[in-house]
Amino acid sequence: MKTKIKITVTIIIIIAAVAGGLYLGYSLNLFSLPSFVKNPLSIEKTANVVEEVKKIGELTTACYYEEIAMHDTRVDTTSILGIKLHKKNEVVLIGKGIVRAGFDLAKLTEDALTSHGDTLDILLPEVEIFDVIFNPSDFSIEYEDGTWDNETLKPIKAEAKKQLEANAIASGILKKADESGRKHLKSLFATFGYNEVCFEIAK
Amino acid sequence: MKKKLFTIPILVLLVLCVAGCDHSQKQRLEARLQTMAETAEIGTVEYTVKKIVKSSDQQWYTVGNRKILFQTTAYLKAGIRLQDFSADKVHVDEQNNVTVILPHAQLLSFNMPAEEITTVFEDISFFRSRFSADEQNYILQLGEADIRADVPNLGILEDAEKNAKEVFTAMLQQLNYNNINIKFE
Repeated sequence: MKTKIKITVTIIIIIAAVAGGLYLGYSLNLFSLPSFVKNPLSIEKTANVVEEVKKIGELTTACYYEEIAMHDTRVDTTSILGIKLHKKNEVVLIGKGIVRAGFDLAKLTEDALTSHGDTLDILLPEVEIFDVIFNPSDFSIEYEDGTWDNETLKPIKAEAKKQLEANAIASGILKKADESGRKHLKSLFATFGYNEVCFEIAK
Repeated sequence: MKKKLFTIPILVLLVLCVAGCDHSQKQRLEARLQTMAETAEIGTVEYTVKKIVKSSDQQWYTVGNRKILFQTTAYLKAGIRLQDFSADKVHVDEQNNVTVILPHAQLLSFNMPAEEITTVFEDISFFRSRFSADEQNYILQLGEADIRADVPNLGILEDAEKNAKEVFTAMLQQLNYNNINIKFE
């Protein structure tokens, strides 16, 4: 009888210790549970509020895509009973960004298009970068150790954006957008019977 | 016997830790991809959309709840893809009247900048861990997907077509066409 009780108590202690260990490990983010055990995170239904509607005239003629890896570390210092404790935080992110460039047709003046016969003269604005885009779905957190959140990741993402824009310019996006724009405008106006299209860039 | 009792959970934890830490992920840092592509799109409207992204996480095996709330802004641009436009979509008659058939408007770009995402509120009960950066990013991805799914109801595509009509009409007026008829198909 005594042995039976001993075995039962032992089993209960083992189960409690394993469950406690698992719960502690899970709480400390040491591992994640398989997806079939865990209810996936979800969001509550909230309104998508249109705050502003703006008329634009952006002719996008070149896009630059790049996958950028970012690595950052941070040391947090806390003091407990006068003893300073240092904790290293480390994160690795991969972001897939897009840069869009082209001509802002909203800047065209009223006399920007002049035609004579089958020749068309166009006074275009200078080519420019419209957007440098990294959406949440473009980021993946590859490695995360310590405390990281949306706010602590902001400067890393901002740096990635800066780097993406600089790389796009260095790779010649503006030249590409200019050439591609002229080519597409030529083919667009050819459909209206203009065999020759001459471009001039407004300064 | 007592020693064994403590050894088992420690071993379980160790095995789970080793399985959970994937250091090969760091090696992926080396991978880098960059490409440039030509395109021809006329963006005619930009919508600024604000959204509160709210998530609450309560699992059957956890003690306590955790909640997070973000304020986000997304910039959506819509317009016409000129790649889908060809010469047979333009008809000019003898009286210099022109009919142009444009492709229907589409969403051309979606931008939810990180600098305009703010964590407004976070409530974590005592027995729960904070939302990791990965979980927060996943919640924001759900918010992004929700706005994207709502695009047909926002009216942005209708506005894009209306504005495209104005852009093409103004351009063709400068080219001295008489009656300008813009259609979408």
